[in-house]
Amino acid sequence: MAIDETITGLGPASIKRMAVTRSPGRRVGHFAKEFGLSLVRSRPKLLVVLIVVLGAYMTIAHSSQFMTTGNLQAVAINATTDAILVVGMMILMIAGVFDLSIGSTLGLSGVASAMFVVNLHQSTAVAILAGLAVGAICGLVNGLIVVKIRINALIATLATLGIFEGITQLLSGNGVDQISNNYAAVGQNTFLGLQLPVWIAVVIVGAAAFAVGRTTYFRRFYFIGGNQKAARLSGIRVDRLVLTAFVLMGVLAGVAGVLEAARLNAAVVSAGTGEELTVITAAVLGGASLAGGEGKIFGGVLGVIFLSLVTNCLIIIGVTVFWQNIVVGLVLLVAVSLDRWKRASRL
Amino acid sequence: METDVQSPRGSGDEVVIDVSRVSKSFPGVLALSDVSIRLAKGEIHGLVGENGAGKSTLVNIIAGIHQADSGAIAIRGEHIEHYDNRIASRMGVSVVHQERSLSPNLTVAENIFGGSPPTHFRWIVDRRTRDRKVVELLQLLNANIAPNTLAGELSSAEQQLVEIAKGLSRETRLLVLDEPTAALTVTETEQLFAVVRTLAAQGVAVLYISHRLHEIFELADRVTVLRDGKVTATKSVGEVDEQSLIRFMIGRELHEVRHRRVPKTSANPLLVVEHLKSSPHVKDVTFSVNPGEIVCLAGLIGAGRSEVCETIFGFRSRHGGVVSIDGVPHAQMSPNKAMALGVGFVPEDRKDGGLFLNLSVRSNMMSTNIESVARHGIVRADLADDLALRFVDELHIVTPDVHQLVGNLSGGNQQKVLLAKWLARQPRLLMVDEPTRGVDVGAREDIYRILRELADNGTAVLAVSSELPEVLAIADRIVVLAEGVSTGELTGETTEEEILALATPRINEGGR
Repeated sequence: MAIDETITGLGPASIKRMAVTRSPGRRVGHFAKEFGLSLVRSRPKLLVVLIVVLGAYMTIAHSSQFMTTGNLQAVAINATTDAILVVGMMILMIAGVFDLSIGSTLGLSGVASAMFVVNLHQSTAVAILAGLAVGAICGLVNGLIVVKIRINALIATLATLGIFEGITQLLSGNGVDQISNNYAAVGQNTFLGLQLPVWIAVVIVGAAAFAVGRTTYFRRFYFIGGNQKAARLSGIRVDRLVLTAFVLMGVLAGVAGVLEAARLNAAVVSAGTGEELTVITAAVLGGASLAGGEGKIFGGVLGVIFLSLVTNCLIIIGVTVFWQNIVVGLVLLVAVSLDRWKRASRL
Repeated sequence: METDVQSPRGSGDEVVIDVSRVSKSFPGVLALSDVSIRLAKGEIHGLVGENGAGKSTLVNIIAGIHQADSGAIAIRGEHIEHYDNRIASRMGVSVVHQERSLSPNLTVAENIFGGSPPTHFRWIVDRRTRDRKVVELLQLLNANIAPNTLAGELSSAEQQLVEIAKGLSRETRLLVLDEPTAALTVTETEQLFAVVRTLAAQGVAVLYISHRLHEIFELADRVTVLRDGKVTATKSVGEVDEQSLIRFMIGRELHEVRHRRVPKTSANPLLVVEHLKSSPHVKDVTFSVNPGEIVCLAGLIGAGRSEVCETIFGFRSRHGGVVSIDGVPHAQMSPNKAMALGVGFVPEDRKDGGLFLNLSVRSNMMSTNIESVARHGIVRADLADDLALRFVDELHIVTPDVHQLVGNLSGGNQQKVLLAKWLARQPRLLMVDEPTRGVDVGAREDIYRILRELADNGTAVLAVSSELPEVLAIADRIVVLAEGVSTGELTGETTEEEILALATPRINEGGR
């Protein structure tokens, strides 16, 4: 209220005069303030606003290039891999850990799956299952190292990042191409104008959002990330759950690897290089914290959409893509600083 | 306040440190109030008091780690305006803290000389001189430790000696030893005493803090007693005996019985613990808890009370003894298994092992039994709300709503949320460790009432408390521990003196 009066700069007399007309304005002012605060409080909300603003700007300023079916399909398909991965990463980060090896896991799963078709002459179904199984094994290895040997997740998955990548190179050299038309169909067929991987990502995100939001099983990860000791003392089987989260992350990286290989009809060794940083960035933008206990699946997905949109905008505007890293870095810093400020001032 | 400023050994000569009328408060607590203590050259001065009496605060002020809110500190007659730890060490004050401060992956010599080793040309460490000095220091302490041993490889007694050597590595006029014998055997204690006496004979003033009163009588010339942040007595040891010292420590009118202790005898005790052992703090603990009874584990800090609860709950591994629930002996538990048997555990530090501070009141309350607010594995917001609202109401928890982050509540309300988290499981045995630590008076009374109601409804309650008035106020039966051993049980009319007598370690029981 005090702020409103200062802004309008009215003396006591004019206030009385304007008493009737002022009240709706005050309500709007109040609403704006509340809305602004809610953006500071919640990174997902901030992302929604940024996405809407960015989308609106592009629609108005670059409609001919941005608002085309082809471009929007491209935005969607580009976001698919990250969206699938961010689901697993968000769950890990809620539990207070993370996985740097997801890019290598993705590459290894894709190559292994492709080799089942090309080298072992298996059916597409078997090859897909094999890809997922390889992802699961990678996740299991990570999980066991973190949970049983008690090596910090950063170091454990940094090590396996290199190991998985090395295995992929040993297996296939540079990769496998011309997998099979049957296999490629999984990644290239479309349904309602969008490629199959997009729909698979939508299903995974929806299911995960429900599971993490509502089921007892996944709610426990918030306790683990919130205070691991208290979680143990509350009878939560911390080790078992963290292990499952790593396996789930591996399976999702496997899904992403298979879909990517199918979409390109080729499994490239470097398919997932750098994914881990993009995905962690998206998760943090979407509300995750490295300390754990925070974040929602939709937040992470919003982070992915935002990053994908920024890339697309920069390409359309014709700015060199190098700017993308700078823009994303700055947005990340600003978003997290808001968080600090929020904590310090107990908004 | 009874004081006697004359120093018996000091022959009235030079005062090394004169702490006068020092007060210190921390948010919500007056830790020290108008405390004066004065040590003469060559004097060994004991400092005793109950847990929380302000000993550590006084030590930290003398070490210059904390600054007093008011009062003055003079060293060798020189009043010091802004006393801090750099001035303290320059003036020859060395403090050996109770907590170990050695870096385990540095050598003994590196630890002892820390940041200021002997040097060539100011920049290059003179290892030979350093190691020679270290050997000299350690010989003085009768310790046979090589200077290049890693500190982490030493036994805790050796580490203690290295800590003392570190304290003596600079020129020392005042040596403060905070519970130095807690980790030492009888022989090592005797050696340490000999060293302290030698140092005193050389003119070093020693402030010696210990829970073991017999050590004070054996070693000290004078003794100062702190209670609730105030000095209640400064006496030469010849003038007092153990009984009167305990009286100064506890103060207030003794023999006060707040609650009629009616032990509930039962043919079927819910919990029976026999010869429980869990290294290193629990050595031989035996007791039982009946349904409908509040049993308190009393004892000094380090007596192993919390560790007993943690071992029963399966959070800590058991190295011996039997834990039976409903007459059935159980092998090593896990928190999960203990909970399945109807055991709940409210840990000592609500911020460490108790609460999820960044989660809501509601989430915290459902953390122990999320299944109870779910149907078919899906959490039902309405059931969770019901649960949370019921406990907010029953326990008078002050919070704007059940979605408030627990970290934003006051200490007392946080503690109630922690209790609620376990009450929600309706445990048959509830262990509560320091149930009212950092809790205001009103909430404290509420918590006592809750525990009593639980017991009246047939729950077996095992409470750990460092505060003797609290033990007397809530316990039906008191089990006293001293250094990991259950030394006795008290029922009926009892006093703080009786508890303390059992809780104070005896030298003839062999240290450890």
